[in-house]
Amino acid sequence: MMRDLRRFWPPLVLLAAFHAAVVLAGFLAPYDYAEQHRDFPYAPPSRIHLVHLRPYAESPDGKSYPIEFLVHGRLFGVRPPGVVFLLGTDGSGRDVFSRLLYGGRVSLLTGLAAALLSLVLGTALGTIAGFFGGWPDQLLMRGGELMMALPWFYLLLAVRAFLPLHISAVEAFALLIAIIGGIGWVRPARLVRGVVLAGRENGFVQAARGFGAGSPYLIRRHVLPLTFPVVLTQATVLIPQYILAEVTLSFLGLGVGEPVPSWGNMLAEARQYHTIVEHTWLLAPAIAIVPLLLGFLLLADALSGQQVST
Amino acid sequence: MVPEPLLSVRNAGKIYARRHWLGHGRETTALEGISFDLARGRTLALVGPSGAGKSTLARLIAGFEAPTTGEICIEGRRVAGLQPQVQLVFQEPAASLNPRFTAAEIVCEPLVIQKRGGRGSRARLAAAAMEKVGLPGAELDRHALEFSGGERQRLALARALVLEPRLLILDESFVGLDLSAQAQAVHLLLDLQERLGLTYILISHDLALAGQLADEIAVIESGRIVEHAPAREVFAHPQHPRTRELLEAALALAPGGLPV
Repeated sequence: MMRDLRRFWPPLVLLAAFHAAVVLAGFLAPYDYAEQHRDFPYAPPSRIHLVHLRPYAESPDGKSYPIEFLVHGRLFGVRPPGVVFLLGTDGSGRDVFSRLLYGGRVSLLTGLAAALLSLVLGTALGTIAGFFGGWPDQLLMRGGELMMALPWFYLLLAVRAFLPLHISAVEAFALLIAIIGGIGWVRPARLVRGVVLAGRENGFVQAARGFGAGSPYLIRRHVLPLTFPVVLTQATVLIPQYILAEVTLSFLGLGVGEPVPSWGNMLAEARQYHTIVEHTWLLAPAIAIVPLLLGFLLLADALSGQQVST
Repeated sequence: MVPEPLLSVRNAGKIYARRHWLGHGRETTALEGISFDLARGRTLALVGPSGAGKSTLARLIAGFEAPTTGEICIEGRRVAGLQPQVQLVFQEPAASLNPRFTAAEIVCEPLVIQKRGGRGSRARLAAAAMEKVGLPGAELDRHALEFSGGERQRLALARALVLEPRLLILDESFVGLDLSAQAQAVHLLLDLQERLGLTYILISHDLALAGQLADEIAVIESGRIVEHAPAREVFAHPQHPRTRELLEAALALAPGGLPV
């Protein structure tokens, strides 16, 4: 038991760090995500000298500026006209580090919200199908198979084509969540249905029925708790999958639009070969996503290990 | 005047029809022409091989299902649906307890479902029910899994008693208990019967166990009662070949002789 609990700490710490970083973007990022430094497009990461009596940063203009901490509500920064770019700038001279933090908000929140939508839909529909059986079961499961058979990527392109060319960032964000989450309910629904199907045959469910319990009571008190382990494990699998889906869609220009950053549309700028070769710092989101996904997968692993041991 | 029996079963039958959407379906006769009376405070054992229809009869009496033919009356009123005065203690008590629940939640559950009383009165009733079956009230916070097999059976019994039933149907409730736990359970049931004036229907395939508890024994085979007599009578002069078979099986397992 103790050994299993210890396995939860590394992924939880890792994920907590990522989420804290994006939630605190307004404090940790030295610049706003849309702030452009037109004089310094594609500036490489600034050299930082921390081990010094007064830590200083080398600006792309060749001068050095002392780093100031906790000024103007930011963790750090330099006094203008100096600039500090931890991860360089993009073609418009926007700080990649700041955009990475703000863009993480969109990517992580899409993953969480879409997974929540999928799980709520999947749990509700799977429970109804498994508990009541009969035609609702047939309808939901055949419908689910149809959903799985759909080439959802092309469906997505088609849906996007029906909408106006330019939609606001908030609308695009809501659309992303609705589409990713709305398509993904099938797998959790099938898993939950299986658990409910077996769970409703439990002696204690029959006994409660014998005391006169109705379906809402049986589902709420006896059947739904049985599905929690499955739902939890599904969450840790779906969230990283959906974060990747957001990155993919935004990369293709189907997600939130400029100037709002997301890890997907930041990478879109790195799609050119010469960019990758000459401005490697633009790949920062692609590198940031690796430990994030690893965190979720380690958590899923720890959870499944926990279930085997109990 | 003969007192009105607590339970009266008149010509009850149950046919399960498996309908096919193209017309002809198959019918299975589970019970046929079952009639008997059971007086207050008595114990009837329904004995028979697996699949004879014992559990179906239990479900009909408890009101889980309606009989296809005939009628079942409790205290002169026809059974239609579930009723609190008849409680069924399920096969394998361990499986009928939700492992996530505490003893208090388990024992209170019938009250919660029936929306009886408030939190305080439920807790009092649960503690009283635990007391009745000889489990200390201090154990109300423990989870079902933490109890031993015999204790779980008592827990299931306490849960059935909390609604203050008149008739308790024990459907193979002793399966999976070791002999000493079984003996304790028999003792407890006899004690409860004396104190609370309960009537029991004991369902078992074990004639030896039936002999320890029952006043009368009914042997069921293929959905019919083939022999129904006082327990002593059944042991002394078994009439039906099936009864003799069951008796021999019971004797073979109890070389010291039957406790009747």
